Amino acid sequence: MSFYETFGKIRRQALGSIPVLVGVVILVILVGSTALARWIAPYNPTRATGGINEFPSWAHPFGTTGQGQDVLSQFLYGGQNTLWIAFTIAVLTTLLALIVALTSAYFRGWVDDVLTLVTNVFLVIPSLPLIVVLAAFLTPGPATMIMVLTITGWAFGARLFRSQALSLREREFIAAAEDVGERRWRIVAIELLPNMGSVVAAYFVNQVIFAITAQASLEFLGLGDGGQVTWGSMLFWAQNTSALIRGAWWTFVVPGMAIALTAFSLALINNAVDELGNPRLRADRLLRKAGFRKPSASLMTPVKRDA
Amino acid sequence: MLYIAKRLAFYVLAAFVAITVNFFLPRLTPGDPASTIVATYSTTLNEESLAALRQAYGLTDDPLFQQYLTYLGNILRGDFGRSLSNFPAQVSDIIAAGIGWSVLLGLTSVLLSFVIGSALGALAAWRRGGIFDRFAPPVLLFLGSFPYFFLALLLFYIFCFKLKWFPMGNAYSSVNPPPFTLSGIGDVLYHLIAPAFTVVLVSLGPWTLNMRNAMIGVLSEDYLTLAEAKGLKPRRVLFSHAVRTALLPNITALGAAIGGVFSGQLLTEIVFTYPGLGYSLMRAVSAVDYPLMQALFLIITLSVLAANFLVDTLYVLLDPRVRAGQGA
Amino acid sequence: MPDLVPALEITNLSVGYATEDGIRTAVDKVSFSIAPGEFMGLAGESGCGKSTIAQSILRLLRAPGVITGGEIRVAGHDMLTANSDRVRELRWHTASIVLQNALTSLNPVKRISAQLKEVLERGGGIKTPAELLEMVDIDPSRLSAFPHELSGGQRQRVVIAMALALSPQLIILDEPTTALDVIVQQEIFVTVKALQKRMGFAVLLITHDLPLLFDVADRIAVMKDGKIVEAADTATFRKHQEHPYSKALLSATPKVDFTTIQPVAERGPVPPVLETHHLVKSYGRNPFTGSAVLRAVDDMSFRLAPSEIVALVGASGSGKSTFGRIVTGLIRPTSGDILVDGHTPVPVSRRRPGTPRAAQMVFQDVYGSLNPLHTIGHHLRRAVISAPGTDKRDVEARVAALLTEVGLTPTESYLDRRPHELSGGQRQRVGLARALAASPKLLVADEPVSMLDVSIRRDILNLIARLRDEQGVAVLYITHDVVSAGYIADRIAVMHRGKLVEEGSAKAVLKNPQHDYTRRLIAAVPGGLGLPTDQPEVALP
Repeated sequence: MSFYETFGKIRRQALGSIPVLVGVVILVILVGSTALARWIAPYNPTRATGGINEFPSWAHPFGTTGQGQDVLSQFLYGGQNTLWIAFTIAVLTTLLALIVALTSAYFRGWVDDVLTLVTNVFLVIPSLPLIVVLAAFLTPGPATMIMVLTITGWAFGARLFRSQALSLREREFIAAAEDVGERRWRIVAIELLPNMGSVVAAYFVNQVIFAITAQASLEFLGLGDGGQVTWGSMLFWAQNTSALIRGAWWTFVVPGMAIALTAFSLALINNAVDELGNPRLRADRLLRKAGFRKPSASLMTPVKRDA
Repeated sequence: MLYIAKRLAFYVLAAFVAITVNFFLPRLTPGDPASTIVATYSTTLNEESLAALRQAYGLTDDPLFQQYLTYLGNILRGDFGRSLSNFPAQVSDIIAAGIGWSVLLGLTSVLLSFVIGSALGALAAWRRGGIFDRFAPPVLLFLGSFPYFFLALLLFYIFCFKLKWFPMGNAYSSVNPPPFTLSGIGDVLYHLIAPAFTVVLVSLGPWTLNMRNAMIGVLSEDYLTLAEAKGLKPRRVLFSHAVRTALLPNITALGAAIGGVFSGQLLTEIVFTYPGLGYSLMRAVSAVDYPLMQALFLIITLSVLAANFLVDTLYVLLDPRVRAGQGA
Repeated sequence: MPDLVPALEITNLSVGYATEDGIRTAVDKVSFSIAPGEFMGLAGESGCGKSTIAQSILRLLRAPGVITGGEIRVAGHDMLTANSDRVRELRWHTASIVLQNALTSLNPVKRISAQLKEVLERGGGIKTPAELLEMVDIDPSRLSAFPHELSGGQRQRVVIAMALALSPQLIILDEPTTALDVIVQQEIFVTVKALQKRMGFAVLLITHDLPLLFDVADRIAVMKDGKIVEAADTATFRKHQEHPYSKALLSATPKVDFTTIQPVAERGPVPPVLETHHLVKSYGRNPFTGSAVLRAVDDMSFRLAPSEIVALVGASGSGKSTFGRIVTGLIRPTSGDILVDGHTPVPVSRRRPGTPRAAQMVFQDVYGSLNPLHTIGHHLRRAVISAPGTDKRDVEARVAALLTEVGLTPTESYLDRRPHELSGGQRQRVGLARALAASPKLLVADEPVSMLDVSIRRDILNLIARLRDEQGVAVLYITHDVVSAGYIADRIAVMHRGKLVEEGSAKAVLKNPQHDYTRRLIAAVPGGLGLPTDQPEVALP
C-alpha cells in the first residue's frame, strides 16, 4: 500500500475512531476554555476573592486557594500560560531537531558525525538535573523556561529525524533526483522533508506533552516565576501551603488533572493514529470486522464455514 | 570487544562534557551568579569560611583555564567543595548519604516497571484485539500522563496520609539507618513500597506500548512464520522466539529511559521525603546551594551514564549481531 | 497402502482477504493433487494467488487471509476441519515449507543448532542436527553459528535440512531461490532433487519462473487471477500450451535468437561514449594497514561505443551496480580513470541544474525510484528544467514529448497522477523518460526489469532497444540474467568479484564462453539458453 492511500485511509478512519474522538473532545474543551479565559473567568486569578481554601461552591465552582484566589480563574488563565509556553517549546524543539537532522543529512561526512555525537551526549545526560541547574542560574520567567526546556528537549527528535532521513536517503528516488542534477538543498527540502511529515507530526505532539509535564515539574520545584499563574505554579503554591494536609484537595486536583488530561488527550490521539497506520494491526482489524476473532496471535488461518 | 570499547569512550566523553558544562555554567551566565553566591552568604558566614568557600568554588584570580584545571583535578579526587546550606559539611558527604537510597529506589522501580511493562506488552500483543489489549493501553497512557510529582502527591495523600497504609516519608523508621537484619530490611522495604509504586505506575505505559509494538513487528517476521510452521507449541513460539527477540529493542530503550525515570524519581523522592539525591536537590534549590546543586547534577549524570553503559554491555550479550560487530 | 494417498489433495479451495468491503477472493475454487514423490510446479505472476495457496496448506496465511471454502488434505489428513492443536501436530510431520526470503526466515538471535533441535524435539526425527546439515552439504561445525554468519544460499540449505528433519511426505517451496543468484539456485535444486530421489518426498514448488520448472518439475500448473488455467505434465506442457495465457507467459520470457549470429558491426574510429582505465572502488579501509576490506570494483578497463547496448552481467555482489553508479557519478571511484562522452562524470554533489548529464540512470526499484508524494508531471518537469539549455517555455512540450517517447499516451492523463496510481511497467517507463530528459549519450539501466512481472519485462526491454535505435543513445544494461542480456545486447561483459572476466559479442559469449565463471553462469540458466546445438538440461542430473 502506498503512502498516499495509507494516509488518506488513516485520515478518514481517524475521524471515526473512538480514542481519537475522546482525545479531540477533551483537547477542544481544555484549549477552548483556556483561550476564552479573559471572557469567562469569573475573577482576577491573582487577587484574593474569597476565603482561604474554600470548598467549591456556586461563587467559586472549583473552590479557592490557600491565598483565597479563585481556582477556576487560575485554571483558565494558568492554562493559557501553560499551553502557549508548551506550544512554543514544542515548536522550537521540533525545529531545532529538524535543523540538526537535516543538516546531518545534507552535509553527511564529518558534519554528520559531529552532530550525531553532540545529539547522543545530550540524549544521555539526564534532563531534569541539568534543567534544574540551568534554571537555577537564570532569572525565572517564561523566556528562561522556554530556553532551558528547548536546550534539553531536542536531542531525541534529532536522532529520530536523522534515522528517518537516513533511511529515506537510501530510497532510489533520492539517487534519481541527484542523478538529474537537483541541488542538494532542494532534495532535502522537496524530496526528503515532505516524506517525514507523519514522524514530525507525531514527535511534535509528544513534545507538547513533554513540555507541559517538564514545565510543571520545574515550577513545582520552585524554579518557575512564582508570580505568574500556570498549572505548575498552582501546584507549587498548593504544596507550599500544605493544601493536601489541610484537606483542600481541589487546589491540587484541578491543575493536576488539567495537566494529565491535556497530556492524555494528546497521547491518545497520537497512539490511535499510530495504530491506524500500522499495516499489521490493520490486517487484524479487517479480519475482526469480517467476523473472525482470534484468541491469540498464534498463526492459524481461520476457515469460514458456511452456515 | 571493539563495540564495548567504543561505547565506553563515548560515555567518558559525555561525562567530560557534563563536567565542563558544570564548570562554565556559573561563570558564563549573566549576572555572575558565582560572585552573587559569595555575596549572598557573606552575611551568614564568617571571613574564614568565605575564604574557604571562594577557594573551594575556584573563585580565585587565576586565569579561567587554570581554574578549569584545578576544578578537573578536584572532581577527579572526589572533592566537590563544601555545601553552603550545611556549611561546613563536605558536598561529597551529603551525596554519599543519599546516593544509596536513590540507587535502591531507582533500581527497584526501573527493574519492576521494565519487567512488568514488558510482560504486559507481550501479553497485549499476543492476545491482540482482546479485552486486555483494548483497555490496557489507554489506561496506561492515562497514568503516564500524570507528572510524577502529582501522582506521587495523590498517592501520598491517599495511602500514607488518609489510609495510613504506608509511612509518611523517610526510608526507615529509626533515626539512623537500620542494621542489616531481617526486620531492618523489612522496614526499608516497607518505606520503599509507596515511592517505588508511584514511579512504576507512571513509567509503565511506555514499556508496555514499546514492547507491544516490538512484539507486533516480530510476530509478522518470516522466522515467526517458520517457527509456527514447524508446529511448535504456542507457548514456545511466544517465549522462545517472539519475546526473546522483541525484548531487544526494549532493552535499547531501557538505556534511553533510565535518564527520564531517574528525573521522575527525583521528584517522587521529594514528595515522599525519601532521603535520596532528589530530596537533596530540592533542598539545594530552595537554599540556593549552588555547589551542592552542581555536584548533584554531576553525580546523577555520572550514575545515569554508568547505568547506560551497563545496559549496552547487557545488549551485546543478548544480540549476536552486535557481538559480530554488525550492529552499533 | 499409505502410498496411494496423495501427498497433497486440494479440492475446490477458495481463499480470500478481508477488506473494508467484505472478503476479496484471491484463490477461486482451485483443485489439484500431488502424488507421493511427485515434483509439482505452480507458476504465475505476482498476485495470482500461488503463494496464498502455499501458505494456506499449513494454515500459515496471515491476517487478513481467510480460507473461505473447499478442502485441503495433506497425506490424507484434513487440514481445514482439524482444530488448532491438531493442525500444529500435523505441521512439519506431514508437510513442511521453505519460505522465499532465506535472509529472514531464521531467527537472528538463535543458533542454527537450537533452531534445528526444536524441530527434532517434537519427536519422529531420524537424524541428528549434524547429520541434517551434512545432508544439505553444510559443514556440521556451522551448527553453533548464528544465521547472519551464513550466506544466503547456506541459510536456505539450513531451512531445507530443517524441512526434512521429520521426513514429511510433502515439501512446499515458496519461491525459495528468488532472492538468490542463479548459480546458487541451481546448486540448491540439484541438492533438492538428489534428496527427493533418495527420500521420496513430494514437492510443491511455487515460482514465477516457468523455465525453472521445465528443469525440475514433473508436472506444471499455471495460475492466473486465482484460478489454475492449465495443468499438464512438463514434457507435454513444454511442447504445447493449451491456454493462451500460458502461451503468452512463455513467449514473454525473452529468448536469445541464435539464428542470426553476426559479429558486432565495425564502427570505425569513433570515440567511445564510455571509457574506463583500471577503475577501482574499495570500501572499509582497514585503519591499521590501510588496505581495503572490500574491492567492489577491481581494476575495470572497459569501453562502450556510441549507440551500443552492452550488458554487464554478474551475480549480486559482483560489483556491477557499483560500476554503474560510478559511471553516472552517484559514486566516486577510489582510483583509476573514467571518461563519459570524453569528460570525467560530474559527481552528484557538484551537479547543478544545467550541468551536462551525459550518463543517466534507470533504476531497479520501480516502487522506490519515484517519490510517492510527487506527481509524474513533477518528476519529469524537474528533470527537464535541470537539463542543460532548457528554455522555460518549452518545458511542458518537452515533458509531453518524453512521455510519448516512452509510450505513455495520452500524455495529459499521466501528468497529475502519482506513482501509486501506475503499474510497475508504467513506472519504469516514467523512469526511462526521466533519464532521457537531458538527452544523455548513455543510459545506465540497473536491472530495470528484475522487479517487474515476466509478461511486461520484454516490453520494457524492447522499449530500451527502440530508444537506442531511434535516438542513438548507448545503453549499459546491468543484469544478473544472461538470457535477457543475450536478448537485448550487442556485447556482453561478465563481472565476477569486482573483475571483468569476459567480454565479447553477445551471442558469441553465450554460445562459446571462455571463462569458467561464464560457463557456470550459463549452465545455471533455468531451461537452458535454447542453443540449437545444446541439449537444454545440461545442468541437472
